[in-house]
Amino acid sequence: MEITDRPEGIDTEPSATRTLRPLSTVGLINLNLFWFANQFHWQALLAVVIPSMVAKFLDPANKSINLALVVIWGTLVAFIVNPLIGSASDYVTFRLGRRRPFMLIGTILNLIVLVVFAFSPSWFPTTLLLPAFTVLFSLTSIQQ
Amino acid sequence: MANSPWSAIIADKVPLHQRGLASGFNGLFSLLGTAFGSIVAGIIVNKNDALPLYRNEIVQIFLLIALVQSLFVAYTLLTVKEEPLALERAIPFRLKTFMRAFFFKPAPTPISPGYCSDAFW
Repeated sequence: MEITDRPEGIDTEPSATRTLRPLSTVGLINLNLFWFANQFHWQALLAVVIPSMVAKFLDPANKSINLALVVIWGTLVAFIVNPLIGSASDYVTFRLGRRRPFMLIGTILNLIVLVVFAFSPSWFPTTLLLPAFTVLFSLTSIQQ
Repeated sequence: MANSPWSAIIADKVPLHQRGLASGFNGLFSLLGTAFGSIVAGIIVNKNDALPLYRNEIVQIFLLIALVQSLFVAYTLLTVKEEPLALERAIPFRLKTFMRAFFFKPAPTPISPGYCSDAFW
């Protein structure tokens, strides 16, 4: 595995690449357990929680269009932000590494969003619930 | 912010001959998360319940999602160590180069060279 072509100083491999040690099965599992929490989060929200909240707290007659309105902005924002942040992580020289700092900060911010989301039906007046759900879903799409 | 950088962790840490297996675990845990996400949320949240009870269910499922995230992320951060990118190997940030990576032409080469320094095929 030699690096043959290094155009314009772009070298995205970590310094340890050429000496990567084989990982144990547990090591491989540790790398990937995060995806359980990630998919748990998204599937619970997208398949069950958000559609039911939209139907229950907003006008039932418009529940389909309301659901689309809540979800589309987060999806669009994530479409822009995810590639940028993923790419930016190649550049950072933080002591925690290149990927872990983003996981730590993103998760902390996302926890705040989740708590606000949990109580949003009580905290926001009914007329503001549609924009509130939209903004909260966009924020969780950025953080998570 | 958490997930897209983490997508690179396999390329960072796993030697070539184990990458398929590592990606297999990626798929396995994603699928398990999907299954448990539907099941658990479906058990907790019932749209037909009266509003006060339903509000409680919503609080419960959000806090449970937050708890699952906290536990799994804490475990990940404790068990997976990263070496910081050595300063001399750090890429100088130039906005032009950074943005151009998103607008490559896939046609001339199967993989844009900026994305693949393994040069394995």
